[in-house]
Amino acid sequence: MIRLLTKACLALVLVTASVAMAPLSAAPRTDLNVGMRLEPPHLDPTAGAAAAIGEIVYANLFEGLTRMAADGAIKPGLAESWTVSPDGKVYTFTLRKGVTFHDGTPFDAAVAKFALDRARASDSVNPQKGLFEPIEAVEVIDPATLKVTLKRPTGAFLFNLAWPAAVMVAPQSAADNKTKPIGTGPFKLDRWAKGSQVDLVRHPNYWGAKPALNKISFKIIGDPTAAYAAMMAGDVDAYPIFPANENIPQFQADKRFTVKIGNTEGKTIVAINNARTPFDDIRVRRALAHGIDRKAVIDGATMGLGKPIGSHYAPQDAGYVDLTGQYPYDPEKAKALLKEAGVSNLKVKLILPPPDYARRSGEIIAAQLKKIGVEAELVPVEWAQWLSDVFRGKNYDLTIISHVEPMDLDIYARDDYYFNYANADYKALYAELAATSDPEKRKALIEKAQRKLTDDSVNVFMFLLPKTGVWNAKLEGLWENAPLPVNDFTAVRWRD
Amino acid sequence: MSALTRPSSSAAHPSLWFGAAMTAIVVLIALVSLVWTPQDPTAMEMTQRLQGPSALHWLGTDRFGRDVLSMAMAGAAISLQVSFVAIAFGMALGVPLGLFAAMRGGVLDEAAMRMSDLIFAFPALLTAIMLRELFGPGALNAMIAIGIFNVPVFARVTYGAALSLRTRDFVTASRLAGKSETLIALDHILPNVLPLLIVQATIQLSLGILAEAALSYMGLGVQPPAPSWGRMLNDAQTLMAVAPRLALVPGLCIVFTVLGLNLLGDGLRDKLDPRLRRRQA
Repeated sequence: MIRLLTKACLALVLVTASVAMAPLSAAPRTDLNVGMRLEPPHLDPTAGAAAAIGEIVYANLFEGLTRMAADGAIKPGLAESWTVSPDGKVYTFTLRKGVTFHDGTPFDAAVAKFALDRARASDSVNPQKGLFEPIEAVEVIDPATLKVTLKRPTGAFLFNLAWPAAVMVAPQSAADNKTKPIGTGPFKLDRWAKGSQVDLVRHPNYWGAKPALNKISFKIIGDPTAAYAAMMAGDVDAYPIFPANENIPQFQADKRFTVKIGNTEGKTIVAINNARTPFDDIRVRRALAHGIDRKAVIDGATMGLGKPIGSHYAPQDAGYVDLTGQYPYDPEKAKALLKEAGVSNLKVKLILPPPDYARRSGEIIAAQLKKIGVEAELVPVEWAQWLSDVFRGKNYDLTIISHVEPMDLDIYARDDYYFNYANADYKALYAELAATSDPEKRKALIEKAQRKLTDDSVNVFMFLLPKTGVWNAKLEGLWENAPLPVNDFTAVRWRD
Repeated sequence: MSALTRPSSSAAHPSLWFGAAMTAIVVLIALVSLVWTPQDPTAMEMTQRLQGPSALHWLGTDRFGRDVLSMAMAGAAISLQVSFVAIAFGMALGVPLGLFAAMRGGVLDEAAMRMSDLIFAFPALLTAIMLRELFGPGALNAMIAIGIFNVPVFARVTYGAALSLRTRDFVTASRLAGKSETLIALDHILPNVLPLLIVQATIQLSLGILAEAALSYMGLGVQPPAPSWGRMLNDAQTLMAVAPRLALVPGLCIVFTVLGLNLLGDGLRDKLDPRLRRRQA
């Protein structure tokens, strides 16, 4: 009897619930749960190189003068239009009116000048200072007009301004943006539960078109199994890049999901500490290149989805030259090179950050290096530890990492970068490239730079990280490719 | 559990023989793997990725084209090794501690046993995570973590048994004869505690196997390329739909080994535990 009653009650509750839910389910959802592999160290894209920062805040929370569209095209951002002087050296931007930051501070030319000057200042901690190097002077003409004078014509200048590192920040809030980011975007920070998720909510006074979403939660779930379970359970609606490629066929076979395999700019490399013996010997670095079977790494670590690269440049970018054949897999040659360099019984530490591509490539590479007599001890580390020990501390032998910034040939010309490459010829070559605006000449120099990096075997260039996007089939407006390491959700909406 | 498996008469010990046979098989495989495996368990062959069972690969291959059978065999050796060393470590510290506390009594006794309670309350997993933060992951740290967890287990068993033995007539007799406490402990107490310790060690070995698998599953145990059952399980997780065999093999290996050791422990207890022996007689 009691059981019968319970059943009746349950049925009643269910009926009531479904009646109550009915009007709700008619309207499309306005929240989005996004899966992220790595947690950002902080949320200020003008102060940190970790791609996870831009992947959360770009376009959603912070905006720049220009912005990048899904197809890689440069569109107006906070600058609604601009003119370029005939000599290509003076850019006059007309800024949007009525734009305010989340804290109410108005955005105008003075703020834009502050943001650009801050980024290019000598004491700037901007991770992409090179983007602003061509700037000679920034002037405020009137509150809605900004004049930027360049040292030389720079073809990529509008592209540079679209980077996450070039977003507009206000004088009052810039210093606190790491934890309390204040931008002009359609979403503002709601809360950051460290270690688990970052929530953005709609900013009511946004200047532009109201986005369809009310709330975006970025959930940090890097473990492939947990990621898969979260997608299947509907706890996560979208993974811009799904952590485990072996699950992709299952998502493809499931009508509930959309799967888009696109390109990233993620050049996945075995980074070599060029300053550390014996890697300061070019023969040893070349031996590593010959000793690593790129195809096997791609097959084993990305399920064959990664595209091979032979230098630090992505195949889809202008000026690409295919150098994948320069160091064919040849363990005998690698051994000979090591012998020639007088290196025997080499023991190295291969530091592996958390992403799946790094951990799996690491296992394969360690096995391959063993065949050429190099004993690689695998050292798995947490993301924050990788950033502090390897990236900032430069304390490593070898590591595996994906460099996701587009056309970032400049990092090899930097004085204080973790590869410790320090090559005067390359620096001169890059300086020449930076000073050249003629597209044909630029292309030739970009080619030359790629060849130089490959010739010097600065790092072992492996593959382009595939963008394995998986999301709920009812979602629209997500990016298929990642021309920048960003997730612009302003145009994302749920279909009814 | 013991109530179910305990035989009605002391003459037949089916669980003992089953357990001994299963354990012997695992130990044999582990020993063989030290000198021979069908393939090199660390050799990768990308063209042979995720192959089903074949004449060349009896249990198929994993995501990197490694031979699963060879990996499982080598994993047995690593599992037993880690577990054995950890239990030996736990006994080496725990038994003297328990003996000492029981013989001395008083404040020191209390202190030693409360200390062991403290360690006992601290999960091996946490110890392992702590050790990893200090020294990085590895087999040695797994051994130490599991070993530390075993110290209080053996201290308690020894202490409890020694305490009741201490007041027995034969002990009092040797004390009256002028034997030192240390000699009494070694000559009279320890031999009588030994059967209990052997039983306990067998049970602890099976728990050690489980702990080792859990630690390597979480990446805290032996590091690649050395194969281990726990990591094989972890690797297999995302491939469950494609190749469930990859999870089944290490899973069954763990079950078989742990079951074998448990049965053996149960059987040994029936045979060796003086308390049970007396009751049955």
